[in-house]
Amino acid sequence: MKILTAAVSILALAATPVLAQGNGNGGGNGGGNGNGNRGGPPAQAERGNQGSGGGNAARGNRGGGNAERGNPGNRGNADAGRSNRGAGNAQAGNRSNSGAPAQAGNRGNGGGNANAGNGNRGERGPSAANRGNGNNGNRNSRDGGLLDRIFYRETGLINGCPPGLAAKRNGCLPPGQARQHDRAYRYGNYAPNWWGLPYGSGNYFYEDGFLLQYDGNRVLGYIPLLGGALAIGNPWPRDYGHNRVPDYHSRYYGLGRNYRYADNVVYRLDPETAAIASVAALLTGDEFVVGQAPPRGYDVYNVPYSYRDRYRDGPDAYYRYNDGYVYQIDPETRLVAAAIELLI
Amino acid sequence: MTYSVKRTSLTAIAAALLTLTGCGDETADEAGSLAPSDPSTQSIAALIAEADELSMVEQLVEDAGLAQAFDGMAAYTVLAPTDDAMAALGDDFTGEEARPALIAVLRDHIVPGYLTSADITAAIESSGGPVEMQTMGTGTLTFAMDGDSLTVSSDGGTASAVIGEEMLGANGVVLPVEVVLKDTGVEAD
Repeated sequence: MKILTAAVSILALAATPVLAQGNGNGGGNGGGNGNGNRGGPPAQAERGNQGSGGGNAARGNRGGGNAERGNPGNRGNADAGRSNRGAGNAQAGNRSNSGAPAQAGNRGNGGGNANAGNGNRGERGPSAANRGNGNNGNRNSRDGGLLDRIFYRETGLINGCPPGLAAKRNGCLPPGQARQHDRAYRYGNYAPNWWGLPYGSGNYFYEDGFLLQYDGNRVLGYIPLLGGALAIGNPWPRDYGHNRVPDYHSRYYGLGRNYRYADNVVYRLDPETAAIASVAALLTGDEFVVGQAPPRGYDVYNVPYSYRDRYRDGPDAYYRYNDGYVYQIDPETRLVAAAIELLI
Repeated sequence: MTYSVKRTSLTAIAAALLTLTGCGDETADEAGSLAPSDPSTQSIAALIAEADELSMVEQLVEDAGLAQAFDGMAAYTVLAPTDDAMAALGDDFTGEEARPALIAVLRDHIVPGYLTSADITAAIESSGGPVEMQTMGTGTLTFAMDGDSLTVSSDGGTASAVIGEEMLGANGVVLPVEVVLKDTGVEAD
């Protein structure tokens, strides 16, 4: 049983269910007029149902700007797939030095406008600066009804031509020339969701590790790709937004401080060089909200092996795992009843 | 680019986990939730590395930097295309330039959690028809029975395969498939 003792210290398997029952629909309007030097990260309009809003963002110096966290909006037609998921519009404000507009793309209907504020972007800060909600409602749950989960699925298209390509060719090639120039045009038919990116469709072409969005012959922006511009050993693209993950996820995935989270992938960075060192986690980013139906695509019992004794399907509850949580589902109502952290 | 990943740490954790659960002889409970009878203490990264026909997926996992994720605490199930399946993708998916596309392909073969063949079969029987699981890409995989065979289909149903012999690890499951479960058709010139 020595092993057991050691494991308890590592994992603390008690895993008391977090009864995330708070609802607290609210506007969630944050104040937080940040003018800090770290400038506004791509303020995603994501986390609705945040209890009563109206609080002031206390982290203004990190530059979140006018962070408004409205309701996430409809998640779109479930049959339409994940590319059309709720979450409203995010508009970048004036971003001074480094662009990176927060373009939520076609994420369905919803409110939640998030305006990135002004700010000099010495280094991209985490989007936690945009949290501007004060009252979190029912603290029985975390963050008043929603778990303190990862909601920033997408990071945003970066304006312009990737610096590397621009330097290489004195600008990005228009699609026609790119087609002749680079056999990578072979992927020209693939929309962002083909690449695992939660963005809407558009006129996209792959080139040299990036997905470029075109308007005619003009490059509007780009997204660095896992394994391409976001390959191991590469520096983090300067203007590519990233976010912090909640503490629980940081502990669950063992992230420490040197990581970047963007577009449903968590990357570890080398603490010395800041280059990408590995992928720490892949996430679905799916939202399980207590009191609501679970997302599509969780039909099979999938609880991690070591938790199956504790959380096994039965007449009183079903359990499903996603992104570090086990979710309890009521067999009768088919609604999420609780979200359970696997580490305490 | 090469790099090494320590797998011993997970192995130790896995051993601890197995001890903790103390259910190595579990089979099924009343509701049909299954605990695998004899999972390995290895990580899914190690299982993929040791499999004879998954060398291309292994290389891809290394190239993508996913080996650490597959060695970690979080549970994943990988529907791993065999080398023959990967080779059938053709020239468009060869060379370093193809790496992001191959990784995108792989993401659609990874589902969250610990998904055994028995779990999938039980879910199909319980629902009376095909069942779906979300992937780490943007789509879903659909599981169904074809006679006595458990099959999996890509999002949109463009590809399907019989699931091969499962490999149960400490932190996930590897389910070999002989077809790439993603639409990779490229528009003709």
